Amino acid sequence: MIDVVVIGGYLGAGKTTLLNHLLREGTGRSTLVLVNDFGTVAVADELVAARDGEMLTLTNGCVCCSLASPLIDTLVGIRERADAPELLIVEASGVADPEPLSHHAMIPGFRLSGIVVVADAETIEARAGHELVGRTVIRQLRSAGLMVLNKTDLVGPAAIERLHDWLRTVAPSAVVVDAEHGAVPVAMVVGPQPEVPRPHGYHDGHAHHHDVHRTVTWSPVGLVDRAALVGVFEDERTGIVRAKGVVRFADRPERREMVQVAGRRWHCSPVDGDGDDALVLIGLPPAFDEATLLDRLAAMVNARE
Amino acid sequence: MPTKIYRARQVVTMHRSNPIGTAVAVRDGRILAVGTYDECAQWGEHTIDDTFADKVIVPGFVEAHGHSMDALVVQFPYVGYFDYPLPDGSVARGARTYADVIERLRQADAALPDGDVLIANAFDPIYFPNEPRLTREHLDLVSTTRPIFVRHASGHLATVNSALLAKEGITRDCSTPGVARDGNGEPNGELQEPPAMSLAREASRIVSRGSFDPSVVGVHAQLCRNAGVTTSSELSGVMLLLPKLEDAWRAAVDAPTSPVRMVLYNLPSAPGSSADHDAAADAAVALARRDTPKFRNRGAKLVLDGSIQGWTAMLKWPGYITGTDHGQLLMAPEEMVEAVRAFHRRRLNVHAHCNGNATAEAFIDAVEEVLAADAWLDHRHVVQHSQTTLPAQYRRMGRLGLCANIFTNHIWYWGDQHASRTLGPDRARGMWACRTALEERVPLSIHTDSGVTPIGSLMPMWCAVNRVTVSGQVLGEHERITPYEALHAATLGAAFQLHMDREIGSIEPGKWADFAVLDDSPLDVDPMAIRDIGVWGTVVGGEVHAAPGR
Repeated sequence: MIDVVVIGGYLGAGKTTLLNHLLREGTGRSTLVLVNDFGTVAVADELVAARDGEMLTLTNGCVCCSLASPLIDTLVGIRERADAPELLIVEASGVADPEPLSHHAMIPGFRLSGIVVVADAETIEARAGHELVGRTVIRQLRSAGLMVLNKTDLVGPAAIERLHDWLRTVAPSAVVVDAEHGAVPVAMVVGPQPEVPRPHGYHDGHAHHHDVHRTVTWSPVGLVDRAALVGVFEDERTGIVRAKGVVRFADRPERREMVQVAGRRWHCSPVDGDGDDALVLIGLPPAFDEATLLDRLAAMVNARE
Repeated sequence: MPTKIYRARQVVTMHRSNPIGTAVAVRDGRILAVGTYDECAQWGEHTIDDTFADKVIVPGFVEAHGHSMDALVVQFPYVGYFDYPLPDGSVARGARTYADVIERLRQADAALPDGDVLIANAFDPIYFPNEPRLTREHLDLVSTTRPIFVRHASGHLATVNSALLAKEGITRDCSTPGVARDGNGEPNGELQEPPAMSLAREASRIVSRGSFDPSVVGVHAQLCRNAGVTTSSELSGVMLLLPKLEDAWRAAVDAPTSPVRMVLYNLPSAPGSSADHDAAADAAVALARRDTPKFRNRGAKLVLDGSIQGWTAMLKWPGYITGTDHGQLLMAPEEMVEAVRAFHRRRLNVHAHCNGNATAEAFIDAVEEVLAADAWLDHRHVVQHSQTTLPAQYRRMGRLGLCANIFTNHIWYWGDQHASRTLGPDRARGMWACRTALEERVPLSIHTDSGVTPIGSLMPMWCAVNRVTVSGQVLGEHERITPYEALHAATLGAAFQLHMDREIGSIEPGKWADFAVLDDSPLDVDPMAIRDIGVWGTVVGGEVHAAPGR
């Protein structure tokens, strides 16, 4: 199964800046990035392993290529490749609605990791009110799980606070993270990696001075109450930004399900095989409090029969 | 090469100074002279060809917004609502009822080897407002064992039968959005949008494999010949996106068995995605250097919105009269400026798909901005489809040198639906505003969007002249144009928008000997009979191509 992250946002919001940031930092997984405009990919030469026409291979396992065919044909082609990536990042065009685009990640072989929408703090409100593109911009914001409010260095703190209030009403399912030059922790964009065990409270934001995000792993022993867990994901007070993991739900005890959360949007899909149940959650303190969260999660587990 | 003089009942030239003749002399594939036989004979030694002695010769029709993928419409069993012409000269009859659709599928089922998936094309639910949605239950009446995939005309939906659902494992547990359900939560057979359609893996593979295959060119060329079209176009050209196909396409178009010139306007990016337009325009310049007399690559095609009958075209206030407005721009206005600028600077023109008037406005704005900084006055950028363009927009277009290529076939095919369901009767009367365009000095062409409606210029002419819908109403009598204006739009007007009016579009010494050979003149018959005029065939570069049975 290939995880898919859709990155949307209006022209000029900073999608390419965010992508370049991801490419430089690496994702820790074999990654294919479908970009709109190959020419805008900017990485240091020493990161480039090979350049072949419309494909760029990086030394950190990322491969970049531009989209020449309809997306659905491209995805079917990727699915059939022997060297299919673990992670696919799709850069939506500046006017695309990421929500229907994300449906492409719900065909067999793929699963949606999340929709990330980049917004330009300087211009987003004006764009949202624009006669021709306002509706498109609003749709983009509403589709977001994680919203990267970019270019916050260009507006004052009061304006940022006002933007957060406004975005809460426009895009209630989005968790908004401030950023300068698209620099947000990679795991927030592409999701955590539960496959790799990490120390409790592991902190991977080494590259970022102001990065204060926290990661916590929850290993439920037993069946989870689906509605209660969804209630946690939808509760903005938890401070959860991203989550990924495999659990067993009480209403479908016969199978394990992959749960992926971006902002207050989540997707579950059945997974094959056996293994330990675990969910890795990324959040922003102070709302994200490990002890409170783990207590709340523990309360929704029924002992396995 | 020897001179040949074709004598005809009449030669209609569309050349103002020399409008009518009875003979045309051809040498080296070009028009040597036109007028009386005696006038033509003054060029010396020649042979006489009286094949067209009782025919009317007009300039070969020029289709400035075609698609060679119309070959796909006819390669699969056809379940569209209207008759569709086939390459062999016969006609696929329209399926006017669900019983017709089922009967057509039964015939196709009987003709197909066991095990093959049955793919049918061009079903359009908009014509069945009083029927329930087409579902697997209808298609199960055809076969419970053979997988069946009925592609809708919009390309956005398909309806499949139970055998296909079972074979592809599409069950109630399927989590892909767009799998429509019945009251019990079971898939009802309708697959909406590409992700859900892709679940029908085998059928999707067959359909998408055919789309860009050069073999479609030969089929398209036969359809053109049968309809009098000597220059057609591919307005979704993929030579910039898939440059590996270039040689195969050129070879297919240049083949002597392919009796039509093809002009490609290439997409700089897949519709709805962005591109480096300067790089694309550089590639387009290089591509145009490799043109041949028959295979031409001109500028760019930009797809800027959706369709009106799909409620995805972007309309200015007050929008759609029924249904839900899904209108949106497929390219940001800022990017339109960059795209136009890149091609304009290299003196290649841009054809922009603008069904909605809000979209047309954004494109006109973009052209105005580019033109103010770079005065290529002869750009001939084109508002394509131009179905809802407003009078104030035509006034600007006239002053900015923008052309309109209006999709007049809609008047008959969807006119009633536009009056009742999309724009309402008042604004529908002002759609396809050919008269307004001409009055505002906007260079005009009319088109078929072949694949959406059948290739051939007599029908868009008939529509522009009569403005009669399927129900028989005249929709917008004040926007009618004359048969002469319509023939001009379908020949010289179209050639102008392709920057090819030096070479084609009229019967004028020096131009290519490209003719449509007709049984009657569209300028002389009852205007309501224009679409019924028989087409004998074509002459392309002096080569004669008869339609089947002629």
